[in-house]
Order: sequence, then structure tokens, then C-alpha cells
Amino acid sequence: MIRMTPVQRSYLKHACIVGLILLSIFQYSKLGSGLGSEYPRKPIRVVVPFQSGGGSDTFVRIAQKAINDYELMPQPLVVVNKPGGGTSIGSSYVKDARPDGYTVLCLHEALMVAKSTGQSPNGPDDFEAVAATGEFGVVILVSEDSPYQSLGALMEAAKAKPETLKFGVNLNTPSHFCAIMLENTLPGARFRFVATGGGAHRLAGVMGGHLDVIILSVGEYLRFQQNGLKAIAYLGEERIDSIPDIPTGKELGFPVFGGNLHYWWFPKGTDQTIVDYFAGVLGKVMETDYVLQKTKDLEILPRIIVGDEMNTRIRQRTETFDLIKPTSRVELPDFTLWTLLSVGLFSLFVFGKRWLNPKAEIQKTDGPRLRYDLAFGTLLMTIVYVLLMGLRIMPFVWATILFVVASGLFLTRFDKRKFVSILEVALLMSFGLHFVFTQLFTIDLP
Amino acid sequence: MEALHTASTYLFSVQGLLLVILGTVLGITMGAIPGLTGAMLIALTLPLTFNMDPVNAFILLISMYVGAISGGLITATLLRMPGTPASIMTTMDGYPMARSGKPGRALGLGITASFVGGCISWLFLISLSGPIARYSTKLGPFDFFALVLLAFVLIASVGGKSMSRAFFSASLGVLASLPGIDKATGSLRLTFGFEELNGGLKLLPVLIGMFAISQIISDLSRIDEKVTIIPVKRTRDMFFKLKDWKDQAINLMRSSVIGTWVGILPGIGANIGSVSAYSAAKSMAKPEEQAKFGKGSEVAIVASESANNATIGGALIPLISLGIPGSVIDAILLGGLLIHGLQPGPLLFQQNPEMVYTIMGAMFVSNVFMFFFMIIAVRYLARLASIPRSLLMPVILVFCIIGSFALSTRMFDVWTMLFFGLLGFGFEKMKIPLAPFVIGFILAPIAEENLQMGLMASNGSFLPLIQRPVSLIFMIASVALLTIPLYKRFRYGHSQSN
Repeated sequence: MIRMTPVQRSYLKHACIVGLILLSIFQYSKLGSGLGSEYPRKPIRVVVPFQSGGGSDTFVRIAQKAINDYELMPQPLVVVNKPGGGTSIGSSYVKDARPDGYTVLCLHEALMVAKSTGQSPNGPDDFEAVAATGEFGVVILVSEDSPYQSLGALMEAAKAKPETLKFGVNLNTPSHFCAIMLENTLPGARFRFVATGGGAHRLAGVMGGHLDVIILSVGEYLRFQQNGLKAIAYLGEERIDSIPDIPTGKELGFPVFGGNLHYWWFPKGTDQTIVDYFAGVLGKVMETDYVLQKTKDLEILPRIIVGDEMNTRIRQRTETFDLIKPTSRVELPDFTLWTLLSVGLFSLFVFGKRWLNPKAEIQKTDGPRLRYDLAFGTLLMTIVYVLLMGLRIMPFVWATILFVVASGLFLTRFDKRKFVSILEVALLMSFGLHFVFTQLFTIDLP
Repeated sequence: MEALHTASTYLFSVQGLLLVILGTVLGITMGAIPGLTGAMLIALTLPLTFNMDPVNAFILLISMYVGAISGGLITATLLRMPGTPASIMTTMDGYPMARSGKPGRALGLGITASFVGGCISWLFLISLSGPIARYSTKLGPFDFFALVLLAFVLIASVGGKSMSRAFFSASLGVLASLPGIDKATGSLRLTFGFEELNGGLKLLPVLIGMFAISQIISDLSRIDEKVTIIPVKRTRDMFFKLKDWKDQAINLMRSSVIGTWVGILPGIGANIGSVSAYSAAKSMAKPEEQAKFGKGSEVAIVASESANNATIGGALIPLISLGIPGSVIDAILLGGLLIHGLQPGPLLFQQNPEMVYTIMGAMFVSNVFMFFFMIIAVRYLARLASIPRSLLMPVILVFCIIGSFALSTRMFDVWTMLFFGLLGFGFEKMKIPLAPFVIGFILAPIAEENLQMGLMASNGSFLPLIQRPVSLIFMIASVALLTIPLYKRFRYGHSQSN
């Protein structure tokens, strides 16, 4: 190792930091360039109202890759995951976005279901539908040693002993609605619905014998087939190639259609030419070899429906869902009440003792004086910093420089000697993090 | 076998090993700086891994976990400030030994004990999690509900000094988990008309607020404290000699097994593992050794450090086999698995076996790397404690804000984080423990979901809770853990209260 004097070492350190800062600023300045005049002039943000890694997310990322690889559009798609709130967080975000064609929602029939159950204020009427792509079907499953080896037997049993067969669904989502539609095909048949959450939980329920019947997507079914599951019906219009032996519900006399498509939605008021252009791009996407292969792997039918056919379908499905009013059929304890009660009870223990015995509290600690002025001053600066970004007064980069410099100076109590290192840290944090997040992680910053 | 192959190709690729090194070094660094904890590091790193491959993300996160629990011993020994809560017991004997002129020896004992503790618990991890996962598919919703109840009782009765404060903290955590959509009815509750609350409070902002922001506030208020570091001269003292192995063998085994089992128990983690092993070692030691406890006992350092690292492997067992976190850090990892679209629990072994092997493999490789890195670099790491806070804290604040924002790219989460930061600081001031809050926040939805599922299946009857053997055992254990301390207090008066 080369021996260096402390001064040399310090120069080298500063040179490295300055280099990094320059590199980040260079990257930052590149972002604004490359504008044309035709739509799309900048990347289009696709909002997926689920966590990354789920079915919708996977599908959108396949489309994203196809657009890049086959150069179907001059600008890329950027995927933004906004999970939670029964899809309402993501759909509200798009509904309130500017209708300029640069923000689009990709969400399947959960949009209609969430609206009709009141979980979300947004329904199809709040958006301009672009296209419905990639149909994924569902199957009805029982365990291999179940006494109900056919859909007919299952439905008869549900009629003979109403509300005893345990049907695992995700309450108020398309799976639940599908099960209710199945009940409606045979008057008198009623299941006992058990809220199970996601597919993996449902599967564990059937395997452990806690559930009698579940619904899974075809893709999930094929993945878990070896676990002693038996598909008794495919809920689609006709049989599909990957499971040719499974009869459809319609064939068996229970005409329920549980297929679902990924719909693409622009905010209301988006220009029709933009909608048509994007629908055209999606049409080309669904024809690429990459998408054909990937959808085959995932057991999704590479369909695309646009225009009147799509609008009719949206209307029909919305009407169907609106007729169904799912309610919980079991009286459940009120968790909110119980939690509030226990908070109240324990706060009595904690604060009551203190109130009865106030002397015990006074304890002097030795050591240097605690500087709450510095702590809360910095916290106040943080709040101003967040406000600056939250109210869109300043973008991330400038607000961060301001914050780091201001709080650094404040904490060193305006020590001028530290100013250079504070400034270095500030520049590195602002431009550097901006680069890392927007370029490497493709996460938007304020 | 194919999954094992996949996992090892990931882990032993250049990228995988770099991630192990990066994670372990960052973990040790954060662990060594007093006031920055592993929970904070992992919570802040999680948003950075959103776009990574889940396998790589977990190689990084697990390495950080191992590093962070290990790094605490450095400052505990040389500064008398435990770098992480897990090393509190190490401070009691490590610092006196370092003061008496044997800092290298004290560090060496801690590092080797950490390594051995990690290895022993790793053996438990690889041999137990598979069978538990296979068995747990037979567990029904009531069994899971009873298990979560047991976790609540454990953290309250074993975790802290005051049961009522722990329960208060836990029930506030449960309350914080309630806003959003009620899974059983699909209706909204406790959102007070804020549309942003429809999705509930997110785990990450709550965690970052509770652990990072509250810590930053209290660190900033202590900015004037000066630290003096005991310098370490020779690395040679650090290695175990044959005699050490012979003397410490039983202690190492016992402490590691205690650590592992404390780790397996849901909800409680490294600090309690370390305390339990310390007191076990003390009560089993010969009188002349017992007298040295608290004054630089070798046995004590070994017990504390082997046990806290052993909790890592232990706590990962319920996480990957049942989907129930064994400690606070595991709770964050649980959130991380969910964010990456993976469902921890019985089916993880079937659905994503490569993930299971990755977690196991990363823990082992990182443990080995930790050992060598600590031995070589421990002398320099101690200087980390002298990084000026005035530079460090603004940087960490920016990271906290980005970390909360990145989850759903909305400012609401940032405000949530700041709010819980203030709440966490208030908790600390009032001596209310933070860990039960987080455990309550994370476990409540699991408990609620399982209870609802069970009640829907049983048509509203609670009876299966005591009819099913597994849930009955958990219920009896909970009741016993609750009543024994209360009985003792009643019996022996109020001398032990608070």
C-alpha cells in the first residue's frame, strides 16, 4: 500500500467525492433532454394497484419488456406499484392524474367489484377504458379425497346441507363474486364462505382439510397440482388447451363465467387519439412472440378486446356485480371495540400508577445537558423539508441540498470549518440519490 | 434439489458474494455505531430492494441481519455503549476486561462466540424448519390464532420489566393496524374519511418512524456527549486457543441452544436470548467464576455473544416455516417477503424452495464472512463511533424520508413516519417498550385474519380454540405465562413491581 501523508489522503478523499458529485449532476441534467413533439414524448407511467410480484404486476412487466424489446413505442413504460386499500389507492391516483396520456391504470375486474362493494369510490365511469388484455380463467378445486368429485355433486350437497360446505374465497373480490354466481345457478344452494386471503392460504386450507372447496386461477392450479388437488370445473366459455380434460361449468349445467382480463384505463377526459394510439400499441404487444410465449407459460390467453366489444363487456359485468350483495353470514366479534377497550384498560395501569405516585418519576440523569433544542430544531427542519416536497414547491434535489446544508450547519452550530464537508454530503445525497432511485430503481421522487 | 442448485448458483455467483460482503459489512458498521440498529438498517434497505430479484434482495437482507447482531459487541466492549440492544449483556463484562488491558482478548472471545452461536443455530435452522413447515399445513386458523396470542403474552411477560407497559404498547400497536379495510366485511373502518388510510398504515413508515426517527431525536439530544475509545493493539490475542475451546465448550453449547430456543419463540429476539444465556451461565458457573461476573468474566462474554447470534437462526425458523416472525427484525423481513410477492409459511417450501435455501445459505456464508471480517477490521470499526453526528443524522433523515416515500410514492407515508417517530420518542421517554408495539402491529392482522377464518368455518363458535390439541397447548401456555408472574408478585409483595 502506498504511504500517504494525512493531507494527501484528505485531498484524495475530496477528489473522489467531487468526482461522484459531478457524475450524479451529469446524470441529472440528462433527464430533461430528448423531447419531441408527437405523443408519447416522455415515459408512460403504468399504475399497478398491487404489490410487485403479483399476477397483475407480472403481466404489466411482460408488456413493458415487449414494448422495449420490439420498439413498439418511442418511449418506455414505467411501472409504479401502488398497493392497498382494495385497489382504491392506485385507482384514485390515476383518476386524479392529468388526462394527458402519461398515466395509465392497469387493473382487472377488481375495479368493478371494489366499486360495487363500496370499498373504492372509483368505477369504470371514472376512466376512459383503453383495452382489455390477457384473459385468465379460474378453476373450482377440491382435494383428491373429497367426497364431492364433480361440480354436480358439490352443488347438490350445497343444496341439501346449505351453509355447511366451507368455500375459501377472498371476500369481496372477483373470487367471492364468482362463488356467489355459482350459488345462484342452483336455487337453494348455499356455501359457508370463509375469508382466506390470497391463493397460497386457500391452498393450505384445502390441503389441511380446513376448507372443502376453493377457487384458484388456472396458473396457480397448474403450479400446485401435485399437492393432491382435483379440478372439478373450469369457469370459462369453452375448454382450454392446458387443461383439456376439465369440463367447463357451462357444460355441466352451471353457466358461470369467472374469466378475468387486465383492463387498461386512462383518466377521464383523455384525448381519444391518445386512447386509440395506446390501444394500438397494446394490440401489437399481444402479438409479439415474447408475449405469446410468456402468456402461455402463465396460462393466460393472449386476447385483446377493444372498442364497443370491450364497452359492452364492461357494462354487462358491472351489471352482474351490482346485483350481487355479499354480506358476512357469521356474526364476528368487533375487533375495533375490543382493541380500544384493552388500550383503555392498560393505559389505566400505566398512567394510573404514575398519577397515584407522582414522586417516583423525578429522576436526575448525570452527564452533559440534553440538547432538545437541537433535536427538535432539526425535526422542525425535517417537517419544512417534507412540506416543501409535499406541496410541490421544490423538487427533491433542491429541497435535499437545502435541508442537509441547513440542518448540518445548525447541528455544528454554524461551524464554518465543517461547511465544505456538509456541502459535499448535501450534493452527494441530492444528486446521487436522485440518480440511484430514478435510474437504478425506477422509483419516482417528488 | 433443483432449488438447492438455483440457490447456490445465486449465492456463490460474484454478485451473490458481493451482496453478502456488502450486507455483512453494512450490518456490522450499523451495529457498531451506537444508536443505529439492525432493525433501522434493514427497514431502510427494504425499499432499495423493491426492484431487485427477491433472491438477491434476501441475500443482502439476511447478511445485514447477521452483521448487525454481531457488530454491537465492538462498541459494547471498547466504549461501554452497546451498539445494538442485543449486546447489552456484553457491555457488563466486555468493557471491564478491555479496561484491564485485554481489549483484544475481550473482542476475540465475543467474535468467536458469535460465530459459534451462529453456526449452532444454523444447524437447528436447516434441520427444524422443513419438518415444522410440513407439519404446519395441518394447523388450522384457530391454531395460528392461539400461536399469535402466545406471542403477545411472551413478549409482554418475558420481554420487559413491566407487563402492563408492554401490554399497553402492544394494544396500541394492534390499534394502529386496524384502519383500512376490514377483511371479513370488506367495509372501511377507522379511516376518519381519509382516503389515504383506506389501505391502512403501512409497515415500513411505521417501523422507520418507531425505530429510526425516535432514535435520531434522542441521539441528537445527546450530541454533546464525548466518546473515548480503548485502542486495540494486537490482533494475535483474538484467536481462541485449544484451552479456550475446552473451557468454553459447554458454555458455548448451552448458550447457543438457549439463544436458538429464545429465537424460535415468536416475538422475542436477540436481547432476551442474550440475557437468558447470561443468567444461565451465571447460575451454573463455579463460585470463583461467579464472582467475576460483571467485572470481566470470560464466561459471561461468551454466553452473551453466542446467544445473541444464535437467536438469528432460531428466529428465522418460525418465519420461514409458519410465517410468524420470531423477532422484530424478522417482522421486517416478513414484510419484505410480502413486498416481493412471497408468502412465508408452510407453502414457501413448495412454492419458492430456492428462497428458503437462499435464506439458509446466506445466513451461513455471512456468518463465516462476519468472523473473518471482524477479526481483521475490528480495530478500525471502533472508530466509527466517532463519526460526527452533525453529518450523519441529516443523511439518515433523508434516507428515512425516501424509504417511506418509495413504498407507494406518496407523501402520506412520510407524514405517517414522522408521526410514529414522535410517538416512539414519547414511548421511550415514558419507558414504554417499543418492541411490543411493532409485534402487535404486525401480528394483529395475522391474528384477526385467522380468527375470522376460523369463526367463519366454525359458524361463529370459539370452542375449537380449546378443542384442537395444538391450540389448546398454546392457550394453556399463554395462560400460564400470564398468571405465574402475577401470582409471584401477589405472593412476594410489590418489591419486584416495575
